[in-house]
Amino acid sequence: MAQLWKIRLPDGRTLVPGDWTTANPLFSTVEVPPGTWNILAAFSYGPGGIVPGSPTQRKAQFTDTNLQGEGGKLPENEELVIYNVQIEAFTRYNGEDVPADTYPDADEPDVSLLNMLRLQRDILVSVRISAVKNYTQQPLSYFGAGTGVNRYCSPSRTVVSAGTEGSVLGNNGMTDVGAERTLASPLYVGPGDVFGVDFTPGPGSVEDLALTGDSRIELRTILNGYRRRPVA
Amino acid sequence: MAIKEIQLPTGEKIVIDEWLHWATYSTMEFSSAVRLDLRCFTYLVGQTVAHQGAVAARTATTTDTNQIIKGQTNFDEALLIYAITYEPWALTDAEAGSPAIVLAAAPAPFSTDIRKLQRHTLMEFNVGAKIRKPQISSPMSFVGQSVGSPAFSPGDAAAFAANTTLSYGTAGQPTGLNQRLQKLPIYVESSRTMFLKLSSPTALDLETDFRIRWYLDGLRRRPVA
Repeated sequence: MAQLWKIRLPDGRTLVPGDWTTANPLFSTVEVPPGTWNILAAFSYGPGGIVPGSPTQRKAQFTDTNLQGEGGKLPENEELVIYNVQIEAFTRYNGEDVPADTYPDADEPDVSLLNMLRLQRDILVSVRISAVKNYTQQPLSYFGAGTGVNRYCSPSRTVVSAGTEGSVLGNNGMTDVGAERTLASPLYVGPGDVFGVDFTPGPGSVEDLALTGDSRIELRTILNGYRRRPVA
Repeated sequence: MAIKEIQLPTGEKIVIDEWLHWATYSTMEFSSAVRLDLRCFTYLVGQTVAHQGAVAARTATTTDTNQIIKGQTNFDEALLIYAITYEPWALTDAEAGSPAIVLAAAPAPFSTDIRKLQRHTLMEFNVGAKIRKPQISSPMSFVGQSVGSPAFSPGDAAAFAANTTLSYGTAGQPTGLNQRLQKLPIYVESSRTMFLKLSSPTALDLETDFRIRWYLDGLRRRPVA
Protein backbone atom coordinates (compact mmCIF):
# COMPACT_ATOMS: atom_id res chain seq x y z
CA MET A 1 0.00 0.00 0.00
CA ALA A 2 1.35 3.42 -0.91
CA GLN A 3 2.42 5.57 1.95
CA LEU A 4 1.07 9.04 2.44
CA TRP A 5 3.97 11.49 2.21
CA LYS A 6 2.32 14.80 1.45
CA ILE A 7 -1.17 16.23 1.34
CA ARG A 8 -1.96 19.13 -0.98
CA LEU A 9 -4.92 21.10 0.29
CA PRO A 10 -7.50 22.81 -1.94
CA ASP A 11 -5.86 26.18 -1.25
CA GLY A 12 -2.51 24.95 -2.52
CA ARG A 13 -0.71 24.50 0.78
CA THR A 14 1.21 21.27 1.28
CA LEU A 15 1.23 19.35 4.53
CA VAL A 16 3.91 16.88 5.51
CA PRO A 17 2.15 14.31 7.63
CA GLY A 18 3.18 13.72 11.16
CA ASP A 19 1.06 11.11 12.89
CA TRP A 20 -1.72 11.19 10.33
CA THR A 21 -4.36 8.50 10.51
CA THR A 22 -7.61 7.60 8.84
CA ALA A 23 -8.46 5.14 11.56
CA ASN A 24 -9.46 7.52 14.34
CA PRO A 25 -12.37 9.70 13.21
CA LEU A 26 -13.56 12.50 15.41
CA PHE A 27 -17.09 12.10 16.77
CA SER A 28 -19.57 13.96 19.00
CA THR A 29 -23.17 13.47 20.17
CA VAL A 30 -26.20 15.71 20.70
CA GLU A 31 -29.69 14.82 21.91
CA VAL A 32 -32.82 15.95 20.06
CA PRO A 33 -35.85 16.58 22.28
CA PRO A 34 -39.57 16.55 21.47
CA GLY A 35 -41.17 19.95 21.11
CA THR A 36 -39.48 23.16 20.11
CA TRP A 37 -35.75 23.72 20.33
CA ASN A 38 -33.28 26.17 18.88
CA ILE A 39 -29.86 24.76 18.13
CA LEU A 40 -27.72 21.82 19.23
CA ALA A 41 -23.97 22.04 18.65
CA ALA A 42 -21.90 18.90 18.27
CA PHE A 43 -18.17 19.20 19.08
CA SER A 44 -19.01 21.96 21.59
CA TYR A 45 -17.76 19.95 24.57
CA GLY A 46 -14.92 17.67 25.56
CA PRO A 47 -14.61 14.66 27.83
CA GLY A 48 -16.79 15.11 30.88
CA GLY A 49 -18.65 18.01 29.34
CA ILE A 50 -22.43 18.25 29.17
CA VAL A 51 -24.08 16.59 26.18
CA PRO A 52 -26.19 19.24 24.42
CA GLY A 53 -29.91 18.53 24.67
CA SER A 54 -29.64 16.11 27.56
CA PRO A 55 -32.59 16.58 29.94
CA THR A 56 -30.43 15.54 32.89
CA GLN A 57 -27.33 17.55 31.92
CA ARG A 58 -25.65 14.24 31.26
CA LYS A 59 -21.86 14.24 31.35
CA ALA A 60 -20.29 12.94 28.20
CA GLN A 61 -18.89 9.46 28.17
CA PHE A 62 -16.13 8.28 25.86
CA THR A 63 -18.71 6.95 23.44
CA ASP A 64 -20.27 10.41 23.19
CA THR A 65 -17.18 12.23 21.99
CA ASN A 66 -13.43 11.87 21.51
CA LEU A 67 -12.74 15.57 21.02
CA GLN A 68 -10.05 16.56 23.49
CA GLY A 69 -9.93 19.87 25.34
CA GLU A 70 -12.82 22.03 26.43
CA GLY A 71 -14.66 21.65 23.12
CA GLY A 72 -15.60 24.07 20.39
CA LYS A 73 -12.23 23.91 18.70
CA LEU A 74 -9.61 21.49 17.51
CA PRO A 75 -6.65 21.08 19.89
CA GLU A 76 -3.49 22.94 18.87
CA ASN A 77 -1.65 19.70 18.21
CA GLU A 78 -4.22 18.21 15.84
CA GLU A 79 -5.37 18.76 12.24
CA LEU A 80 -8.31 17.41 10.29
CA VAL A 81 -9.18 16.92 6.61
CA ILE A 82 -12.83 15.94 6.44
CA TYR A 83 -14.03 13.80 3.55
CA ASN A 84 -17.23 12.44 5.10
CA VAL A 85 -19.77 13.78 7.57
CA GLN A 86 -21.71 10.78 8.85
CA ILE A 87 -24.64 11.12 11.26
CA GLU A 88 -26.16 8.14 13.04
CA ALA A 89 -29.31 8.16 15.18
CA PHE A 90 -30.27 6.29 18.35
CA THR A 91 -33.38 6.41 20.56
CA ARG A 92 -32.99 6.99 24.29
CA TYR A 93 -36.25 6.72 26.25
CA ASN A 94 -34.72 7.73 29.63
CA GLY A 95 -37.39 5.72 31.43
CA GLU A 96 -40.27 7.64 29.89
CA ASP A 97 -43.45 6.04 28.60
CA VAL A 98 -43.22 5.06 24.98
CA PRO A 99 -45.62 7.32 23.08
CA ALA A 100 -48.22 6.07 20.66
CA ASP A 101 -47.46 6.33 16.99
CA THR A 102 -49.04 4.89 13.87
CA TYR A 103 -46.65 1.98 14.05
CA PRO A 104 -45.62 0.56 17.41
CA ASP A 105 -42.38 1.92 18.77
CA ALA A 106 -38.94 0.47 18.57
CA ASP A 107 -36.75 -0.87 21.34
CA GLU A 108 -33.85 1.31 22.38
CA PRO A 109 -31.58 2.28 20.72
CA ASP A 110 -33.35 1.64 17.41
CA VAL A 111 -35.16 4.52 15.72
CA SER A 112 -38.58 3.87 14.22
CA LEU A 113 -39.02 4.46 10.50
CA LEU A 114 -41.53 7.25 11.06
CA ASN A 115 -39.31 9.10 13.54
CA MET A 116 -36.33 8.70 11.21
CA LEU A 117 -38.24 10.21 8.31
CA ARG A 118 -39.36 13.11 10.54
CA LEU A 119 -35.80 13.81 11.64
CA GLN A 120 -34.51 13.68 8.07
CA ARG A 121 -37.27 16.03 6.97
CA ASP A 122 -36.98 18.70 9.66
CA ILE A 123 -33.34 19.01 10.79
CA LEU A 124 -30.73 21.20 9.08
CA VAL A 125 -27.06 20.37 9.61
CA SER A 126 -24.37 23.04 9.28
CA VAL A 127 -20.65 22.29 9.31
CA ARG A 128 -18.95 25.38 10.70
CA ILE A 129 -15.24 26.14 10.62
CA SER A 130 -14.17 29.37 12.33
CA ALA A 131 -16.75 31.11 14.42
CA VAL A 132 -19.29 32.17 11.84
CA LYS A 133 -18.69 30.53 8.49
CA ASN A 134 -20.57 27.46 7.28
CA TYR A 135 -18.69 25.20 4.93
CA THR A 136 -21.62 23.02 4.03
CA GLN A 137 -25.21 23.00 5.13
CA GLN A 138 -27.80 20.37 4.25
CA PRO A 139 -30.72 18.50 5.75
CA LEU A 140 -29.87 15.56 7.98
CA SER A 141 -30.62 12.92 5.34
CA TYR A 142 -27.85 14.28 3.10
CA PHE A 143 -25.24 13.10 5.58
CA GLY A 144 -25.96 9.37 5.55
CA ALA A 145 -24.66 7.32 8.44
CA GLY A 146 -22.95 4.50 6.58
CA THR A 147 -23.44 2.57 9.84
CA GLY A 148 -26.25 0.50 11.33
CA VAL A 149 -27.69 -2.98 11.26
CA ASN A 150 -28.98 -4.54 8.06
CA ARG A 151 -31.85 -6.73 9.24
CA TYR A 152 -33.18 -9.76 7.37
CA CYS A 153 -36.90 -10.46 7.94
CA SER A 154 -36.54 -8.97 11.36
CA PRO A 155 -37.01 -7.43 13.96
CA SER A 156 -39.72 -9.47 15.53
CA ARG A 157 -41.73 -8.38 18.52
CA THR A 158 -40.33 -5.74 20.81
CA VAL A 159 -39.30 -5.69 24.45
CA VAL A 160 -40.91 -2.30 24.88
CA SER A 161 -44.31 -3.84 23.99
CA ALA A 162 -43.71 -6.78 26.32
CA GLY A 163 -43.60 -9.03 23.31
CA THR A 164 -47.05 -8.13 22.00
CA GLU A 165 -46.16 -6.04 18.96
CA GLY A 166 -43.57 -5.62 16.27
CA SER A 167 -42.11 -2.41 14.91
CA VAL A 168 -40.79 -0.85 11.74
CA LEU A 169 -37.28 0.54 11.95
CA GLY A 170 -35.41 3.16 9.98
CA ASN A 171 -31.84 4.35 9.54
CA ASN A 172 -30.21 7.52 8.27
CA GLY A 173 -29.47 6.01 4.86
CA MET A 174 -28.19 2.52 4.24
CA THR A 175 -26.09 0.67 6.75
CA ASP A 176 -23.06 -0.24 4.66
CA VAL A 177 -19.60 1.23 4.64
CA GLY A 178 -19.66 3.25 1.46
CA ALA A 179 -23.22 4.43 1.99
CA GLU A 180 -21.92 7.72 3.38
CA ARG A 181 -21.49 10.73 1.15
CA THR A 182 -17.95 11.72 0.18
CA LEU A 183 -17.38 15.44 -0.18
CA ALA A 184 -16.00 16.43 -3.56
CA SER A 185 -14.26 19.33 -1.82
CA PRO A 186 -12.89 18.11 1.53
CA LEU A 187 -12.93 20.42 4.53
CA TYR A 188 -9.76 21.40 6.38
CA VAL A 189 -9.70 22.21 10.09
CA GLY A 190 -6.38 23.62 11.26
CA PRO A 191 -4.76 23.36 14.69
CA GLY A 192 -6.72 25.44 17.17
CA ASP A 193 -9.45 26.30 14.69
CA VAL A 194 -12.92 26.86 16.08
CA PHE A 195 -15.34 24.41 14.47
CA GLY A 196 -18.60 22.60 15.09
CA VAL A 197 -21.56 20.83 13.55
CA ASP A 198 -24.81 22.59 14.34
CA PHE A 199 -28.28 21.07 14.21
CA THR A 200 -31.30 23.35 13.83
CA PRO A 201 -34.96 22.48 13.24
CA GLY A 202 -36.31 24.17 10.12
CA PRO A 203 -39.91 24.42 11.38
CA GLY A 204 -38.82 25.05 14.98
CA SER A 205 -39.19 21.46 16.06
CA VAL A 206 -39.13 17.98 14.56
CA GLU A 207 -42.83 17.92 13.82
CA ASP A 208 -44.84 14.97 15.14
CA LEU A 209 -41.74 13.37 16.65
CA ALA A 210 -43.02 10.43 18.70
CA LEU A 211 -41.17 11.07 21.96
CA THR A 212 -42.37 12.23 25.36
CA GLY A 213 -40.85 14.09 28.27
CA ASP A 214 -37.18 13.27 28.76
CA SER A 215 -36.96 10.88 25.81
CA ARG A 216 -34.40 11.87 23.21
CA ILE A 217 -33.03 10.95 19.84
CA GLU A 218 -29.22 10.92 20.01
CA LEU A 219 -27.41 12.07 16.89
CA ARG A 220 -23.75 11.12 16.76
CA THR A 221 -21.72 12.93 14.12
CA ILE A 222 -18.61 11.25 12.78
CA LEU A 223 -16.09 13.37 10.86
CA ASN A 224 -14.21 10.89 8.74
CA GLY A 225 -11.03 11.63 6.84
CA TYR A 226 -7.40 12.33 7.67
CA ARG A 227 -6.62 13.28 11.24
CA ARG A 228 -3.23 14.33 12.60
CA ARG A 229 -2.86 13.36 16.17
CA PRO A 230 -0.11 14.19 18.63
CA VAL A 231 2.83 11.85 18.14
CA ALA A 232 2.94 11.11 21.86
CA MET B 1 -20.09 42.47 -1.79
CA ALA B 2 -17.96 39.48 -2.79
CA ILE B 3 -14.26 39.82 -3.49
CA LYS B 4 -13.60 38.25 -6.88
CA GLU B 5 -10.32 39.76 -8.04
CA ILE B 6 -7.36 41.44 -6.45
CA GLN B 7 -5.10 43.57 -8.60
CA LEU B 8 -1.57 43.73 -7.27
CA PRO B 9 0.58 46.86 -7.61
CA THR B 10 2.47 45.04 -10.34
CA GLY B 11 -0.69 44.82 -12.39
CA GLU B 12 -1.00 41.10 -11.84
CA LYS B 13 -4.54 39.94 -11.08
CA ILE B 14 -5.41 37.17 -8.69
CA VAL B 15 -8.84 35.60 -9.00
CA ILE B 16 -10.24 34.48 -5.68
CA ASP B 17 -12.69 31.67 -5.65
CA GLU B 18 -13.96 29.19 -3.14
CA TRP B 19 -15.75 26.14 -4.38
CA LEU B 20 -17.44 23.94 -1.81
CA HIS B 21 -19.42 20.72 -2.03
CA TRP B 22 -22.75 22.34 -1.19
CA ALA B 23 -25.97 21.09 -2.70
CA THR B 24 -28.82 23.48 -3.38
CA TYR B 25 -32.24 22.18 -2.41
CA SER B 26 -35.91 23.15 -2.73
CA THR B 27 -39.22 21.54 -1.82
CA MET B 28 -42.50 21.13 -3.65
CA GLU B 29 -45.87 19.83 -2.47
CA PHE B 30 -48.80 18.59 -4.54
CA SER B 31 -52.04 16.74 -4.10
CA SER B 32 -52.76 13.21 -5.19
CA ALA B 33 -54.98 13.82 -8.21
CA VAL B 34 -53.48 16.89 -9.78
CA ARG B 35 -52.19 17.17 -13.33
CA LEU B 36 -48.72 18.11 -12.31
CA ASP B 37 -46.96 21.19 -13.62
CA LEU B 38 -44.93 22.51 -10.76
CA ARG B 39 -41.62 24.32 -10.41
CA CYS B 40 -39.32 24.65 -7.44
CA PHE B 41 -36.21 26.70 -6.61
CA THR B 42 -38.68 29.54 -7.03
CA TYR B 43 -39.03 30.83 -3.44
CA LEU B 44 -37.02 31.65 -0.33
CA VAL B 45 -37.30 30.88 3.35
CA GLY B 46 -40.29 32.81 4.66
CA GLN B 47 -42.13 32.68 1.36
CA THR B 48 -44.69 30.09 0.28
CA VAL B 49 -43.51 26.59 -0.58
CA ALA B 50 -44.20 25.73 -4.22
CA HIS B 51 -47.44 23.78 -4.27
CA GLN B 52 -50.19 22.61 -6.59
CA GLY B 53 -53.65 21.23 -5.97
CA ALA B 54 -55.48 21.02 -2.69
CA VAL B 55 -52.45 21.07 -0.36
CA ALA B 56 -52.46 23.96 2.08
CA ALA B 57 -50.06 26.81 1.45
CA ARG B 58 -47.14 26.63 3.85
CA THR B 59 -44.38 29.05 4.77
CA ALA B 60 -40.95 27.75 3.84
CA THR B 61 -38.39 27.02 6.55
CA THR B 62 -34.64 26.43 6.30
CA THR B 63 -35.25 22.74 5.65
CA ASP B 64 -37.43 23.52 2.63
CA THR B 65 -34.88 25.49 0.68
CA ASN B 66 -31.46 27.12 0.83
CA GLN B 67 -31.95 29.39 -2.18
CA ILE B 68 -30.40 32.81 -1.64
CA ILE B 69 -32.44 34.55 -4.32
CA LYS B 70 -35.58 33.12 -5.80
CA GLY B 71 -35.61 31.59 -9.21
CA GLN B 72 -31.92 32.11 -9.95
CA THR B 73 -28.37 31.94 -8.70
CA ASN B 74 -27.12 34.87 -6.70
CA PHE B 75 -24.78 37.43 -8.28
CA ASP B 76 -21.79 36.12 -6.31
CA GLU B 77 -22.48 32.41 -6.67
CA ALA B 78 -22.21 29.73 -9.30
CA LEU B 79 -23.15 26.07 -9.39
CA LEU B 80 -21.50 23.05 -10.94
CA ILE B 81 -24.18 20.38 -10.83
CA TYR B 82 -23.06 16.78 -11.01
CA ALA B 83 -26.28 15.05 -9.96
CA ILE B 84 -29.91 15.56 -9.05
CA THR B 85 -31.59 13.56 -6.32
CA TYR B 86 -34.69 13.83 -4.16
CA GLU B 87 -36.51 12.55 -1.10
CA PRO B 88 -40.29 12.15 -0.85
CA TRP B 89 -42.69 12.20 2.09
CA ALA B 90 -46.39 11.47 2.19
CA LEU B 91 -48.57 14.22 3.61
CA THR B 92 -51.41 11.83 4.38
CA ASP B 93 -51.76 8.12 5.16
CA ALA B 94 -52.28 5.70 2.29
CA GLU B 95 -55.36 3.62 3.14
CA ALA B 96 -57.52 0.94 1.62
CA GLY B 97 -60.64 -0.99 2.49
CA SER B 98 -63.53 -0.38 4.82
CA PRO B 99 -62.87 -0.04 7.63
CA ALA B 100 -59.72 1.52 6.29
CA ILE B 101 -56.38 -0.05 7.03
CA VAL B 102 -53.20 1.93 6.68
CA LEU B 103 -51.00 0.84 3.80
CA ALA B 104 -48.27 3.35 4.61
CA ALA B 105 -48.47 5.90 7.39
CA ALA B 106 -47.38 9.48 6.77
CA PRO B 107 -44.70 10.60 6.42
CA ALA B 108 -43.65 7.26 4.86
CA PRO B 109 -44.57 7.39 1.17
CA PHE B 110 -46.58 4.51 -0.31
CA SER B 111 -44.24 2.59 -2.60
CA THR B 112 -46.78 2.19 -5.40
CA ASP B 113 -47.14 5.98 -5.45
CA ILE B 114 -43.38 6.32 -5.94
CA ARG B 115 -43.62 3.92 -8.86
CA LYS B 116 -46.51 5.89 -10.34
CA LEU B 117 -44.50 9.09 -10.10
CA GLN B 118 -41.58 7.35 -11.78
CA ARG B 119 -43.81 6.26 -14.62
CA HIS B 120 -46.01 9.28 -15.10
CA THR B 121 -43.86 12.34 -14.47
CA LEU B 122 -41.07 14.12 -16.27
CA MET B 123 -38.33 15.95 -14.41
CA GLU B 124 -36.67 18.88 -16.15
CA PHE B 125 -33.99 21.30 -15.00
CA ASN B 126 -33.89 24.59 -16.89
CA VAL B 127 -31.22 27.28 -16.91
CA GLY B 128 -31.66 30.70 -18.47
CA ALA B 129 -34.61 33.03 -18.79
CA LYS B 130 -37.10 32.00 -21.49
CA ILE B 131 -34.89 29.07 -22.53
CA ARG B 132 -37.20 26.25 -23.46
CA LYS B 133 -34.58 23.54 -23.80
CA PRO B 134 -33.89 21.95 -20.41
CA GLN B 135 -30.36 21.17 -19.33
CA ILE B 136 -31.52 17.93 -17.74
CA SER B 137 -34.67 16.08 -18.71
CA SER B 138 -35.76 12.56 -17.88
CA PRO B 139 -38.61 10.54 -16.50
CA MET B 140 -38.49 10.63 -12.75
CA SER B 141 -37.56 6.94 -12.74
CA PHE B 142 -34.15 7.89 -14.11
CA VAL B 143 -33.38 9.89 -10.94
CA GLY B 144 -31.91 7.89 -8.05
CA GLN B 145 -32.85 8.63 -4.45
CA SER B 146 -29.60 8.97 -2.52
CA VAL B 147 -31.17 10.37 0.66
CA GLY B 148 -33.77 8.77 2.90
CA SER B 149 -34.35 5.84 5.17
CA PRO B 150 -34.46 2.11 4.57
CA ALA B 151 -37.12 0.20 6.51
CA PHE B 152 -36.87 -3.01 8.43
CA SER B 153 -40.22 -4.49 9.35
CA PRO B 154 -41.12 -7.48 11.50
CA GLY B 155 -40.45 -11.03 10.44
CA ASP B 156 -42.68 -12.41 13.16
CA ALA B 157 -46.11 -13.20 11.70
CA ALA B 158 -47.88 -12.52 14.98
CA ALA B 159 -46.53 -9.02 15.00
CA PHE B 160 -48.64 -8.29 11.95
CA ALA B 161 -51.68 -8.18 14.21
CA ALA B 162 -50.57 -4.72 15.19
CA ASN B 163 -50.47 -3.77 11.51
CA THR B 164 -46.83 -3.12 11.08
CA THR B 165 -47.12 -4.24 7.50
CA LEU B 166 -46.46 -1.39 5.15
CA SER B 167 -45.69 -0.78 1.54
CA TYR B 168 -42.86 1.75 1.74
CA GLY B 169 -40.10 2.15 -0.77
CA THR B 170 -37.24 4.31 -1.97
CA ALA B 171 -36.01 4.95 -5.51
CA GLY B 172 -32.99 2.73 -5.12
CA GLN B 173 -31.06 2.32 -1.92
CA PRO B 174 -30.56 5.59 -0.05
CA THR B 175 -26.79 5.83 -0.24
CA GLY B 176 -24.53 8.59 -1.48
CA LEU B 177 -23.68 6.41 -4.46
CA ASN B 178 -27.26 6.15 -5.67
CA GLN B 179 -27.28 9.27 -7.79
CA ARG B 180 -26.58 9.43 -11.49
CA LEU B 181 -23.40 11.45 -11.96
CA GLN B 182 -23.45 13.66 -15.04
CA LYS B 183 -20.40 13.00 -17.17
CA LEU B 184 -20.89 16.54 -18.44
CA PRO B 185 -21.83 18.52 -15.33
CA ILE B 186 -24.19 21.45 -15.65
CA TYR B 187 -22.63 24.85 -15.00
CA VAL B 188 -24.95 27.59 -13.78
CA GLU B 189 -23.25 30.97 -13.84
CA SER B 190 -24.07 33.80 -11.47
CA SER B 191 -27.42 35.56 -11.80
CA ARG B 192 -28.88 32.89 -14.07
CA THR B 193 -32.53 31.95 -14.00
CA MET B 194 -32.96 28.34 -13.03
CA PHE B 195 -35.77 26.07 -11.92
CA LEU B 196 -36.68 22.41 -11.67
CA LYS B 197 -40.03 21.35 -13.06
CA LEU B 198 -42.01 18.20 -12.45
CA SER B 199 -44.90 17.59 -14.83
CA SER B 200 -47.36 14.90 -15.81
CA PRO B 201 -49.34 14.57 -19.03
CA THR B 202 -52.53 13.63 -17.20
CA ALA B 203 -53.90 13.86 -13.69
CA LEU B 204 -52.02 11.75 -11.19
CA ASP B 205 -53.74 8.91 -9.41
CA LEU B 206 -51.85 8.70 -6.15
CA GLU B 207 -53.06 7.47 -2.79
CA THR B 208 -51.61 10.43 -0.87
CA ASP B 209 -50.57 14.03 -1.22
CA PHE B 210 -46.82 14.45 -1.53
CA ARG B 211 -43.87 16.57 -0.45
CA ILE B 212 -40.63 16.18 -2.43
CA ARG B 213 -37.34 17.88 -1.61
CA TRP B 214 -35.08 18.15 -4.66
CA TYR B 215 -31.29 18.49 -4.45
CA LEU B 216 -28.92 19.91 -7.06
CA ASP B 217 -25.77 18.18 -5.89
CA GLY B 218 -22.29 19.38 -6.76
CA LEU B 219 -19.98 22.31 -6.17
CA ARG B 220 -21.07 25.78 -5.28
CA ARG B 221 -18.92 28.89 -5.58
CA ARG B 222 -19.22 31.02 -2.50
CA PRO B 223 -17.89 34.52 -1.93
CA VAL B 224 -14.71 34.44 0.10
CA ALA B 225 -15.63 37.65 1.94
